[in-house]
This record gives sequence, C-alpha cells and structure tokens, in this order.
Amino acid sequence: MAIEAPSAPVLGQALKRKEDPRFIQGQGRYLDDIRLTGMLYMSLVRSPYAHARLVKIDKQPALAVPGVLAVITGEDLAGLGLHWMPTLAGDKQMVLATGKVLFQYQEVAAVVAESRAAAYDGAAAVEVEYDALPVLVDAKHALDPGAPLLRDDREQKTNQIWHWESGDSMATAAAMAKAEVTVKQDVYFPRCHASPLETCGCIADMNKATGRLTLYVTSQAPHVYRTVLAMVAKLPEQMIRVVSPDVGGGFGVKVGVYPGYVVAVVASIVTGHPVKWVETRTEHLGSTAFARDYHMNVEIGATKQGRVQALRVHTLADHGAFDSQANPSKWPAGLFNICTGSYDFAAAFVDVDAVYTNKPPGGVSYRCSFRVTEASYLIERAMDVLAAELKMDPADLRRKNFIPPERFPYTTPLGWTYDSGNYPANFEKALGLIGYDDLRREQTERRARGELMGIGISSFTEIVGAGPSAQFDILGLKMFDSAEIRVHPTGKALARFGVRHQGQGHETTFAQIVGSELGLPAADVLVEEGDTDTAPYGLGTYGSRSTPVAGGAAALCARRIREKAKKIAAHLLECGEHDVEWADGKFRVAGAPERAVTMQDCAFAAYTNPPPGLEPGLEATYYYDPPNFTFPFGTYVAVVDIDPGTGEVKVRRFLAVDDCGVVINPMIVDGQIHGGLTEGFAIAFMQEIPYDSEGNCLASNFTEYLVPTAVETPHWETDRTTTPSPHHPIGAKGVGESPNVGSPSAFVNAVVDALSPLGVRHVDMPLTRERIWRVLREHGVVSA
Amino acid sequence: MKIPMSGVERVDASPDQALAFVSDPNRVGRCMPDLEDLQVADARHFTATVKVGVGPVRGHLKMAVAITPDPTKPNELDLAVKGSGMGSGMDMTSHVRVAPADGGAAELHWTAEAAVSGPLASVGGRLLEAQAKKTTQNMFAAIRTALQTAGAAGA
Repeated sequence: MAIEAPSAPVLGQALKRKEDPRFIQGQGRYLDDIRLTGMLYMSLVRSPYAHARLVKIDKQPALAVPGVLAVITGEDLAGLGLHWMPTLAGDKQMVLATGKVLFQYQEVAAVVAESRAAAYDGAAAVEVEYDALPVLVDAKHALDPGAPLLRDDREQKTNQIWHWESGDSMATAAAMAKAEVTVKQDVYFPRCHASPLETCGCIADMNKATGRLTLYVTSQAPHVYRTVLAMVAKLPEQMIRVVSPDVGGGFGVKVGVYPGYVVAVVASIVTGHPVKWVETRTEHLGSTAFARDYHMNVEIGATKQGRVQALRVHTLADHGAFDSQANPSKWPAGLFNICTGSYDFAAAFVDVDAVYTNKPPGGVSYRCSFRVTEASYLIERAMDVLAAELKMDPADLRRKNFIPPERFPYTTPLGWTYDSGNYPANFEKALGLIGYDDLRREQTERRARGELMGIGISSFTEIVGAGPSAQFDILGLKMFDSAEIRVHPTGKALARFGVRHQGQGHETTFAQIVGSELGLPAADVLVEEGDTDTAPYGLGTYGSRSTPVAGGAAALCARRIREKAKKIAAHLLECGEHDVEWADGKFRVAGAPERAVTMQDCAFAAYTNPPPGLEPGLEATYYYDPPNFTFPFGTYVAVVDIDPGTGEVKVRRFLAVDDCGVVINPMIVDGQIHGGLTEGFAIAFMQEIPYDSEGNCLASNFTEYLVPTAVETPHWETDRTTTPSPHHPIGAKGVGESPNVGSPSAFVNAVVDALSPLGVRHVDMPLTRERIWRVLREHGVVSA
Repeated sequence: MKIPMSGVERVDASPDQALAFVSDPNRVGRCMPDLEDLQVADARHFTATVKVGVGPVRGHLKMAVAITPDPTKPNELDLAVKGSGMGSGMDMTSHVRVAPADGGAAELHWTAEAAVSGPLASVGGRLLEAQAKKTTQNMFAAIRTALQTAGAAGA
C-alpha cells in the first residue's frame, strides 16, 4: 500500500477554498434551509416602547388567527423560572418581558403557528397595553441624579453597571503633569452593527420520546450554547445537541444566546413539535448584539520633540438595557487596555464606566466585547491629534514612538506582553509602496489650489487569540480550543474542531495545517465543525481566535498523531524509533533517507499491521491552552479627496500592509482583509444606529443602515510582512479582524488631514456627506 | 419621536355647540381620519380603529381616547389618545380651548403632542412628522365640517 505523498508543502499555498463549490452553487445548508417534519414557526411580539410598564397582554386575538397554536408570554415563562436568563457577562436578561420593557424591539411574547405567515399575523394580533416611562438614551445622562432607574430588579439602585481601571493612575498623572505638550480629545465610536446577510435563527426540536433536544442554530460557539442551555433550561447536557449549520456571516453577532432561542425551546417542549424561529432584518438590527457605543476621552503627554510619555483614557460605555457582552470574567472592558497600541509609553491609565440605557443589549459584534477596535481607533486618532498639535508629520511622529523590534517580547504599561513585532519594517514598506513622500508633495500643491486631499495612516497593533486560561474564560469556561483527528486506513483524515467558521475558510486552512503536519494533501483532510455531538469541546470562532487557538490545537493534535505514526514507521522500517526522522513529509531512516514510509503507509498499518504492544488505530484529540495572546499588526494608508461643494469623500487609494505572522493560505488572508476593510469603510463612512429621544431605533433596516456594495467600495491594495509568533505552534497570529480594527482610523485620519487646513482636529464617524458638508459650511468653505 | 402641533379652527357654531361636540365621543369619534370602527364605552371614553400608512408601514391603529373636561375652565378639555397596532405605539395628549369668535361663531384653539414608537417611528422616520400633522389637522378640519353640516341642518 503505497500512496505517493505530496512533495510540495501544503502550508502557505493559495489553495482554493474547499467550502466554496457548495456556497457558489447555492448548495450551502443554512439554518433556514432546514425543514423538519411537523415543524412549526414562531414569531416574536416586540415592544414598540423603549421604556414602559407592561400593563396587560391579550392573547385571544392572536389565538383567533387561523393556524396559530400557542401564545407564550413572560408570565408563562415565569411559571417555569425561565423569564430571565444569565448573560455571558454575568448579568441577567429578560427572555420575555415581565413587569416592564427596557428597549424598543424587546421580546414581549411569542406566537407559535403552523406557518410562518400565520405566526407573523398572530404576532401582529397580540394586544399589549403599555404605560410609557421616561426614556434614557444618552449614556452621558445615565448617572444624573434625575435619571430614570432602568434596572430596578438589581440590588444596586443605579444605572452604573461597573467601573474598571487598568494601569497606574498616580504615575500617569505625574508623567502627564511633567509633559511639555499635552493633547486631549473626545472621541465617540458610534453604535453600529455587523449585520451579516443571514439573520439569527434556530429550530428547537425536543423529541418527547427520547427526551433529547436538538437545537439547530446560527451559532459561532455551539458548545457554549449547549452548556448555557443546560444551565438555563436545567436540561442534562448529554440530552442536548447543538448543531450550527452553514453560517451566513457572524462577526460576533452569533456568539450570544438570544431570548428567541430559549423561547423556541420552550415552544418545542410545549407543542411537541420542532419550532423554527428566524429574525427579520429589522428584528436583527433592532435587537441583536450591536457594536461600540463608546464615549472616549483621550489625553497624551509628550515632549516637544514628539516622544510620547503618558496616555490617559476615560471611557463611558453604553451597554444598553442588559450587560450581555461576551466578556471574560476578569475583563469587563475586554482588552481595551491594548490602547497604548504600537507605541512605547512609559505610563498609562485607563478607566471605563459602563452604564445601562434604554437601548438593545449586546456589545458583541465586530469584536466589540474585546474592545480592541475602540482602543486601536482611539490611539491612532490621538496620535494624529498630537501630530497636529506638534505640527509634525504623523508618519514621523509614529517613527519616533514605535516599540523597537529588539524590545520584543515587550510588556506594555497596561500589562500585556506583545509576542513579536517589527513595526518600523512594516511601516516603511507600506509608506514606500504607497509613495508617501510623493503624496505629501502632491498634497501641498493641491492645497495651494484650494483642494481638499488627505492622507491617513494607521499603524495598529491587534491582540487576538483569546485566550490563555489563566486570564480568559467565558462563564468560567476556560478559553482553550480543541482538535480531534482521525486518520482512516487509506490515509485520509477527518479533522473536527471546537470552533465554528462563518466564512473564514477553516475547511481549507485547517486542512492545510493538518495536511502539512501529517504529510497529506489538504484535499485528503476533511474538516468538520459545528455539531456538538461530534466536535470536541471548544469556545467557538470570534475575536480572530480560530487560527491562534484552534489552529494551534490542529498542529499539536497532528503532531500527536505523528508521534504514534512514528512508532508504526519504525516497525515498518524495521528500525528503532530513535532512528526515524520526519523529513519532507515522510518518515525516513536517519542516515538513509531513501528508506522512507509515508503517513498513508503508517495509517494502513495502524489498522492492518500495528506493531506488537501498540494500540491499533490512528486518532488523537488535543486541547490547546495558548501560553499568550498573539499580536498581529500592520500599517494602513488611506488617500482621500473631498468634494468641497458636497462633502463627498472619495477614497482614491487604500493600502493595507498586514503582519499576521506565518500565513497558512495567502488567498484566504487577502480575502479576509478585503472583507474587513470593506466593513471598516462602511463603519467610517456609512453606518450608525442612532436613537431618537424616545428610544426609537432610527436605523432598523437597510434603507437607513447602509451596507456597502461594489459601487461604493474602494479598490484595496494589500501586501504583507511576516513576523512569526514565537509561541504559536506554526507561528501564525490570526488576521480576520485586523482590517476592521485598523482601517477606521486610517479613513478618519485621512479625512481629518484633508480638513486640517481649516483647523479641524477631529470629526466623529460616520463621515457621511452631510456631516462633512456641515463641517465645510461651519468653516465657510460652502455657503449655507 | 415627539411631535408638537397646534392650530386654530374657526367653526360655524356657537361656543356651547362646539364644546358639546368635542366632548361627545359619538360625534368627535367620527371625526377621526380614516376611521374604520368606533366603539363608545361611556360619555367620556371611546375606541377608534383607524387605517394608517406612513411610507412602507401600513396597517391599523386601535386608539383608546379619553375626554377630560377641565374642572376649573369650563371651555377647555383634554383629549388623551393611546394607540397601538402594527407593533407600534402612539401616545397623544391634546388640549382644546373653545373661544367665542366674531358673529357668534367659535374658535377651537388646540395644541397636541404626539409620541410615536416602534416601526411606525423608526421606519416611518422622516415622513412621520408631516403625516402626523396632516392627520391631526384633518381631524380638526373634520370637526369644523361636521359642525358646519350640523349647523346647516339645524338651520
């Protein structure tokens, strides 16, 4: 049995994505594609009020709608003790409202019917009487003495959720006082939403005969759902199976457990039928996990020559009506204290106050719970504000302050230890590629002609790969991740993971990792994720953690297989195990490399001819607890032109030079960067979910909440440097979120740079035409 | 979204007739624009179902209306409207003062503030304010027309 092993290395190849043929042929199997026999449909009745007493719910008009079978209210759930559920942040959240509602579109009742249409009609027919209460939408007034108390269910009679600090406030104050130059800036990162094409949904299928619950659900973290369901619904965990089918985009929105899932489970138990619930777009934008809503105030102290010394940040975080972020218990503001960025500060201090408002809970999407985007945006914006104050080129200011390559591993004043980095090399590559000096010369000429051209730089550092168990957990579950590999007798492998991809390309990249470790072609490695009955336990895909954590598990699990295969190889080669070497994808006899066997040979022998005393079979499981985070970085440069008459910003060029360590599949990395840059572009220029004074969501559909199409999206230029992570098994760092984290500041810095001759230092996102036009009008560029 | 509104309608009826009209659920209720159903509960309360369309949001609102005469000012009263439907809510408080005008006629001086919640506010968005004003104006115009007709019939 000799199947030729591949000679070319599998890692680093731009293999086409194995998952794409089914997606591009419409053969994906998403949640809403699943139809079970006897399946019913559920629709939720949601509150039109942002804050109101719930006076009365009349189910009768809904029950009179043909096809409607049941109406479930919060009072019904209260009978089962299920009207509240724990959040991933240690707060609790109403499943269906009892007593009062706290945000518009909050879940109030559920209607179960024979068809989707009947469920919608039934939901519209439920009569709910509310008594409006004073509404709190502006986080800045949440702690005012006269502010309405939102969460009277809590012991603490205040709208403050928590206060969190990081760093040395005394040392920072001292350094700030001594600084020759200080700048201070308010920066708001508006509330936005990832809004994946597929909204959230589930099918709950309680089999009364077996007592087993199967939950098909749009989930980025199916095992976490299983454990949370076991805790919330008091069901034995082995009697729950969570299946996350193909997921049409997640971006963090599909990390948390939503009330609809819990109600669907109850509805299935009550009716004895499978119950499907799928959100509408308005429900999705109006109630699921938002991102950001961070009011930040930043101060930098520096020398006159531009050497930064101290950083101080005060933040007010609007968490909405419930604290339902997906936060590690030690880190209520996530990794926000990564906000010293790529720069060498001697002292830093950060504090965050989180408050309740009458807005939807969440703060999970776009890696919001980890708060890295906010942190990166803040420091990159603040560096430009400092450069303006010092009348210094922002590129020169960055050069003066980068953490030098020789100081890695580098510990920041806020406590993180950066694994590796070479910021100057990456930065100079980017500035060289875009022709930075020529652009500045061109800008001088254009400014002389009254034109508004801007160049914006972001030289960010990310923190990904949550996370080391000493630091990181969700509800106490440590944030390791796992891999299980089975090598079949014919030398083909099945690899299963505890993470769950939603477009990242795991079926290809993990096959490449496993293939390269085992000497198998990636085509021979089938990757499976998303079914808790078959996949090993894991915490899911978000926060760019799959490659740093599950990717590590993949490599180490494969190496465990290789260890065993080595014993089989020694048996086949009739030599001692110590004489066997793994080289070029084969086991070879040391000193006689032509005597070799392949992994396929070993796999066949594992089932047909195992060495005496060795357990047959070739399988392994590995739970990988990463020793540290990984710290990808990059330099992004945006070049914009602003129409002085209309305020329209045209992104002329955008270059992203990323360093995400060792690259597994360059095509997939480029794809992730293109996607993330497009998101960052949307956040910078188009997207915000505003609320009016009554707490009405003013962007609950795609006519108000804009998603960029190919028409608006600029052309992306990408390149790379490679600084491997020293602690990751294959040196990879993760990349999915770098462009979303790094790009908004590049866009805003470019626009502010274009407006800087007018004296503009900062403009909050989104930089819509209207907002820029107002700035131009304020400065007399356009007349009113 | 809170929408403040006000207006003055001259009606061809005496102040007493005008006051009696706007205090009567059976008569003022029929002046609700796009009325589909009217249920009078008692002398001070009625429920009206009206057809509503703001931009893409179309459906019915069920409005519970309470008429409260001002205990100290006999020519003034409050109309409180609480509407729900289409997953939305509408709360309106309105105050009416009946004043004598030239030639024995009367003027209705009215102010109102409507608060709209739900998809009607979030989807109706920019169209809502104009629509709310038009609807409220139409209601008072309907009162004027009805009083005129009643006056003509009486004559």
